Amino acid sequence: MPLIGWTEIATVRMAGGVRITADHHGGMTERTADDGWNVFLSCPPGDRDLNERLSDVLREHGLFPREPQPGADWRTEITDAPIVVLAISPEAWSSDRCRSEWSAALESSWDDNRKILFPILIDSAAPPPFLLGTRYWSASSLDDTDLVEAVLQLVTLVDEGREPANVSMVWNRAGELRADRAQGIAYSADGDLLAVATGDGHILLRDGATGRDRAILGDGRLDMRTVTFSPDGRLVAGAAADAIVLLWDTVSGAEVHRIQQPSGDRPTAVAFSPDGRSLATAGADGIARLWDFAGREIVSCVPALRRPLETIAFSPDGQFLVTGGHDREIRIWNTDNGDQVDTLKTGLRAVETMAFAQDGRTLVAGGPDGRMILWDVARRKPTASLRGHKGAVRAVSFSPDTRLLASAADDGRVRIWTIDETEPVADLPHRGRVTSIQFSPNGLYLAASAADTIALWVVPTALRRHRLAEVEAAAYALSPPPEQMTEQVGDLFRELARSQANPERHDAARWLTRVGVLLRAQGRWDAAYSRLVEAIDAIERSGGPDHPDLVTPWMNLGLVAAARLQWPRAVHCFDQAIRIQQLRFGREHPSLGRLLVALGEAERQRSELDRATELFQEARQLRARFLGADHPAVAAVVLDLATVEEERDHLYEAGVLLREAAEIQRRSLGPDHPAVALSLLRLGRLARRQGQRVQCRSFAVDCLEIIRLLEHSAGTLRVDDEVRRGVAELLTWVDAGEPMGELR
Amino acid sequence: MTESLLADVPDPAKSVFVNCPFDEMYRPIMDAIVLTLVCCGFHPRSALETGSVSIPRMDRIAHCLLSSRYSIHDLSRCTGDGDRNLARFNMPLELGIAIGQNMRPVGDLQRHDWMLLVPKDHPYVEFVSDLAGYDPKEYDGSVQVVVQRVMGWLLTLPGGIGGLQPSDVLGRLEAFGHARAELTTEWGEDVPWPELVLAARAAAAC
Repeated sequence: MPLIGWTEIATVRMAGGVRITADHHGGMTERTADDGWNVFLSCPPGDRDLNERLSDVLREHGLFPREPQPGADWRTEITDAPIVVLAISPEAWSSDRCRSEWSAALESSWDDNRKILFPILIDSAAPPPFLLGTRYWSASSLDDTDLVEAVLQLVTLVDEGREPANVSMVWNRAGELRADRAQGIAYSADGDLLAVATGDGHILLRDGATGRDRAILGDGRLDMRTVTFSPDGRLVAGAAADAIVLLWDTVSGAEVHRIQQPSGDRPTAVAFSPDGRSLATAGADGIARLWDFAGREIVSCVPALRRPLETIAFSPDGQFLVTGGHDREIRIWNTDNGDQVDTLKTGLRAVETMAFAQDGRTLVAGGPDGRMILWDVARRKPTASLRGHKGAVRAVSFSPDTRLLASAADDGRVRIWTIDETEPVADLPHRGRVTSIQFSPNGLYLAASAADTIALWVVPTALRRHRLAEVEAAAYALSPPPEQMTEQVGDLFRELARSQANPERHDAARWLTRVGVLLRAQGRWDAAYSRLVEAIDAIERSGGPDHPDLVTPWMNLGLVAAARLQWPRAVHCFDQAIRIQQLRFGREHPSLGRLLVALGEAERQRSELDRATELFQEARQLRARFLGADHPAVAAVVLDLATVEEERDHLYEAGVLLREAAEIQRRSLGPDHPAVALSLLRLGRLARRQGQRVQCRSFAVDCLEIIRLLEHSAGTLRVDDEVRRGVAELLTWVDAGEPMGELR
Repeated sequence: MTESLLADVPDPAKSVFVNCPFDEMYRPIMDAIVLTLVCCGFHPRSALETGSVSIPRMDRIAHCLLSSRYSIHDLSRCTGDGDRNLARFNMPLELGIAIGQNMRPVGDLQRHDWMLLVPKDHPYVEFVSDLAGYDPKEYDGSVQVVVQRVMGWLLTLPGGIGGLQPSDVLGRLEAFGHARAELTTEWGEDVPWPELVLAARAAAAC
């Protein structure tokens, strides 16, 4: 699907986000709709507020949402728009019009593979089937920050000028790279290249993002089995079955060296040291050798029984080399002198494959009986035994965030495990034996080699940790830090504000507001605070204290105050935002809901519980009126009401509200949604607080059931670890029969 | 094999009633629709599946349609036909049942959802003008486009299997065509519907 290309989004560029650039003469250039920034926005027709706010955010970031034209054919508009933003909310699912728009957008993307589809799942709406394996953004309908962040991703995607179309042909679930007699595979450290060792004597270098051919190395005379890149990506080494290891320059494609195994036995595995200065080979002769790049053997490591070695790996700090093979043990060697440091007894009939997690703390080994052992490297202790494969485990790979482990086996399956679970979270079928697997360095893809093909799988968002962090990490690598960019934008517009007359000054203040919102989204409270205050000051000077543009800076200033636990100030800010919004729209506008909830929360925090209840009730009624009684946003505010009752020690009332919230969530989000699990956990904790063990157990078991269902579902929804731990605590309490008082 | 499939009562929530012409000229399109449905995780249903039993045809059609959550309707064959230039109204009639079930669902089923296919520039609005305002999906008579149209709809429905592209289905059409030819050799023109669905499943699993 074309959407897969999004996973390659690399930067959150604030300067790019606002779509204004300064030229060499001090002038400003602004993008126009003619530049291909037209957006068709698919929103639930009944949610005008969301539509307007999302349109505003798109406009603020230099995109051009098309205004509905009377009598215009919306299908044609979707076809013509280069970008289609799909706001997928629970209401959208029940809207025939929305579903028709999704369908038209999907078909249009098949016809025009340059078209960008950008789905934003609102309020935890279920993703439609066509999003399977693709990236989407999640947002709350109540928080503009979410929408801003999502749109920033879209801006970056467009701004980077990438062509998702090229990616789409490769990165869909059914998509595969053909590679006759493919064996080992490896990504370069920057993910730019994917190398494939083939039995017909070549190392194929493919583009890591698009899968396109970049180079073919080798003369086709050697049976290439395994491949690996040097850490800097300049060299690629391939081990052939003919007792030879070849090294090529990845830029020129020239063969730079060949290492002949002295014993004439085939090299079974190769690995570069983390500093890139040496290469290790494991041999069928039972000897591991370290080589320098002049082909000189630096040191040999000889296992006691000299049984064939199958696998070799460096610890990430480069201090140790570990070997595994048919002597059933993992041996740890000092890379400086070749001395054996330790031996790990595996209990496997042989060690077929091994890998370190990137943090160096965990080592995994796979055996011929389909079993894998995880080791705590520091303590030299096995921590888990993973079973599931029905054939020899041939390859293992940790995701870069060390959260996931992938294993490949002769049974034609790739299984995905989280390292704290002993059951796989996914099972990916392949045609034929899977000989090699590797996560891409950005953790977004998993490549698997099986039966003349390289299957490329997209790692679901829910299984990845630190979604923003990965984006930011890539941003640091490719461009100035986003914070600096933001500063630049802020400074630019501050200068603008100082130098220009009133109308422009007001406009500059609106820009300052945006910068402030973005800084707040980054958690940079001080910087956000000063810009928002500045924006408010400028808008008040030019437009008066009731100007509608003040709502956003007041709201965000309130959120900054809340983040700093300055509750009286937060109350003042939210009060101001509500006052202005009511002047503009009256007391019956859906956008008031989120402001009322924010104010209610601030009041609760400063123990004004009656006032908080009043505000939450008002928000609930407003939301129910505009969104329907069974909307997740209504459930959210019912949960807020329950929190207030808990603080009052009105536990019965709190229980009634929690049950009500869970029911609304079940109806609106489905019975197995993580939000339902969270509500059940809260009910369990409430029961524990009341000393009701039977009820507590019942809620905990229901919650556990949802966790298990989600873990084994093909979808991407997962329950947070915190919920998992909470349930375990409840069950421990139920089983242990602890006295109630200790748990309060 | 047929018996086992008949015994396997399709899940109504994944059933799609196919209201399309059965003639030979339309057969490639029909096959493409059936295979697309199977590939996307749905169960094709048809008036043909119950065969010639002693239940009035309309009853059989209504039962089949009303026990399906979804339906696909193609109005290709509503124009004049034969020496007497008679129009055929069966398909609009069945579409009407689907629309009724969409507006006022009967029984335990959730609201029925339907999709309308029309050939490009088809004058359907002139002879069933009440359909103005709905958004039929136009196709040019090719299997490529019809697969795309049907997939584009199915992949927005709850329960559909995503991750596929039209090329995935089109790539399996040839295998399905061979299976269909074998079935035709065995059964003549009246290939039992369950056998056809089984052949589609086999092709989809390739």
